[in-house]
Amino acid sequence: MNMESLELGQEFTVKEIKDRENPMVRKLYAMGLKEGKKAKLLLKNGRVYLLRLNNSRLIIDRDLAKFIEVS
Amino acid sequence: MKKTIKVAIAGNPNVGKTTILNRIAGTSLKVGNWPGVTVEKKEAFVKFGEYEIHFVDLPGIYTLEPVSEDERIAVGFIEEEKPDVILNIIDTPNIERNLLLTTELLEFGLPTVIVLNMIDEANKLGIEVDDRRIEELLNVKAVKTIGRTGVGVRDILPAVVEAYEKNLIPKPVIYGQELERALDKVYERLSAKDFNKHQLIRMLLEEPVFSDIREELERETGKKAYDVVSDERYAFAHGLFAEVVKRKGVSAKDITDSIDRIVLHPYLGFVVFIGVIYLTFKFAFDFSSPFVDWIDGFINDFLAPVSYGALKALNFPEWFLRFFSEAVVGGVGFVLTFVPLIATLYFFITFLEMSGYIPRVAFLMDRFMHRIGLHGKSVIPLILGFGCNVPAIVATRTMESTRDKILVIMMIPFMSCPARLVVFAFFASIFFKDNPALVITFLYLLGIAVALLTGFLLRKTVYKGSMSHFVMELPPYRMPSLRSVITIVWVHIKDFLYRAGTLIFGASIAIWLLMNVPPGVKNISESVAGHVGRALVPVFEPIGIDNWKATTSLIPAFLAREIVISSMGTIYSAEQGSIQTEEGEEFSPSEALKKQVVAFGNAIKDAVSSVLTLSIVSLHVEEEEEDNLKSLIRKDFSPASAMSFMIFILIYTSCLGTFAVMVREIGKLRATLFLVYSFVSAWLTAFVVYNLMKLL
Ligand SMILES: Nc1nc2c(ncn2[C@@H]2O[C@H](COP(=O)(O)OP(=O)(O)O)[C@@H](O)[C@H]2O)c(=O)[nH]1
Ligand SMILES: [Mg+2]
Repeated sequence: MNMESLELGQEFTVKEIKDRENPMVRKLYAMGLKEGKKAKLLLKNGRVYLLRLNNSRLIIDRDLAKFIEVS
Repeated sequence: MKKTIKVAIAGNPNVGKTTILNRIAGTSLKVGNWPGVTVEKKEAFVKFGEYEIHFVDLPGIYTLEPVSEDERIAVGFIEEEKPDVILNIIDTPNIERNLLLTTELLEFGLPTVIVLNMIDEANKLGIEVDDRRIEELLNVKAVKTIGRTGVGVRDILPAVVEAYEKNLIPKPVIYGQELERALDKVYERLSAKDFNKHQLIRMLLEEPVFSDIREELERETGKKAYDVVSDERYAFAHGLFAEVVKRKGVSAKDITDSIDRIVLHPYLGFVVFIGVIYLTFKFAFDFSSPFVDWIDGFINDFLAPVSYGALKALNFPEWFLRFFSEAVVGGVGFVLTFVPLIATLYFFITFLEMSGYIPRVAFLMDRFMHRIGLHGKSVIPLILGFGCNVPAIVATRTMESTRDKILVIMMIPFMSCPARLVVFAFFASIFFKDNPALVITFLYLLGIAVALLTGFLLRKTVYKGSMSHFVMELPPYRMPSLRSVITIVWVHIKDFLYRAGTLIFGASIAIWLLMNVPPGVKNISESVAGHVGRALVPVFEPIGIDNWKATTSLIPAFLAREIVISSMGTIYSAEQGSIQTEEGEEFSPSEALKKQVVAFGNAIKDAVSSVLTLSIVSLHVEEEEEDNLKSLIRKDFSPASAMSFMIFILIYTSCLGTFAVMVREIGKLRATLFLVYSFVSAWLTAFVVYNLMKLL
């Protein structure tokens, strides 16, 4: 499913990230968000999401989140 | 002759690279708790044993595939400048992710020292890393540190020297068979043989001549060549992680998440934001204002008369005495009185930067910024603009899209900086005694409004295009240490004092000279300065600034806005005549000194007690004691024209430093067009407000 359907505080696993050519997606990868990773949706604010990934927190925008398939 | 070791400090953003360098080298480079503090490479030299070690602090990077400009600077340095040693700093709590960059750095085959920083935070999370195992596996040196307190930092220099002396080349990074085979084929075809793995991979991925090898690799693996490389790197990093981490810890709920639930709340977050801004300014004003008054008294009632007396006793010529009281005391001294205001404001801005609050504003503000086609990250340089426009403009290098960068650079100069605040505080205390805080708030908001409008207009005309993505890491909250905050504040104060001694002093001298040519002019309005100022009056008359003293002050103010104040100080003190000891009056230095000491004690008392109230109490100037200078200036302005003057100073980019950095970042043409634009919008806004105020 898409990240949009996640609830606040919900844990999820990244199933697939599309468009690996996209430099911003590559950056996301380097920041540690990649297939198989567990993360948690902490907060939403309009277009932006705050995720918790291991001991780091990432902000990503909704358009970018659309590339991410979760379960 | 000492031998030099060139050391590149590389690591993810916000892992403590600069903190550690400051510890090692005793520098005071800027540290902050958010990604993107260091955007240029910064250098420091340290002598150690028989070596001179040349450290280069690089902007933080997550990977060696750069997207934004600060990242390109870091990667470019490692690729092209061939450091002798790589100092790879790791945020231990996030070691899993950090090891990806480590893997990429190991590909260079250069002696490497790995610093496991933030051991304190790792311990709290129950994470334990085996540094000896890292050394063994990779043939590197590994050191554990707590950058903030300095624990372990001492071991870094010996490790660097050892890695250099023993030429500790890391064990080669070995990837999967298919990739290694492809790299071997690339290597075989090259005539020169001195390539490292990083270069080979780059050639494999990019060079057209190797497209056959690339295609073969893609056929064998069923993946894009780029994906093969990146998957292999991740796999290596992950293997390393599994080998060296003894305890992974538990990701317990921490305080940051609890704070964030309020601070980043879509509605509550704004209440907090406004509260933070209000308190910052309240404290900055109230705490500083007793000291501003004290310095004013100290200069005018003590320093000036004492040195004036001394100069007189030493038989300095009359013109020099005048120069001293007008240009030095009236001009430079005037500006110096504002040092406490600047210091306290920087104290709070720095505190916010170091606490980790600033990047949170980016998250909060995204909702508004995206209406003008920018995402929340662009708020960070804009907020930094309140500290000083110059570093704020440089900070746009973290932005991934050039369009966003240009847009934000054209908004930053409208963010009001402390130099402008000095001008506002001065005028507001003369012309808006009843509510100076309100006037200053209005001016700050006006600046923000002009910035947003500018962004909006540019977006609708020149810089259309779609929005770029927003990805950013949020650091945990960290309590800044007083020492580190004060170090940074001191850097800003030194900078201000330096400007006072150079630019501002120079401008005061120039103005003073122009007021005194042709030699022997009786009335300064007949001097060259007077003529130049009067020639400009027609331009400014429609916005209510119709006297030559004000217009003359605006010219040198292009160097820096505070100069408006020092120039006015010079001009008005000249008009007023010597401000020092009137004839006949007895001046006793020891008495005066005693008074100053008492006054200083009172200033501390007032500052502390004012902080305990909730409203802004300073700036409500006591009616009685207004010195002559202020009353002279009062004669030349009305509240409406004073407001118009402040607006002009606010909006017009009257700052050489800002202009210069704009030229560097966006080119001369755009910077010059922007300057014209800022002049025109300053004039128009001032015109509207001036006429509205006259109607009321
Ligand atoms: N708790 C903790 N904080 C640290 C340590 N080292 C640095 N910091 C903080 O981490 C933040 C980022 O530091 P900075 O040197 O600017 O990181 P850089 O971006 O890598 O240059 C600052 O708030 C530092 O005070 C450490 O060992 N422990
Ligand atoms: Mg740094």
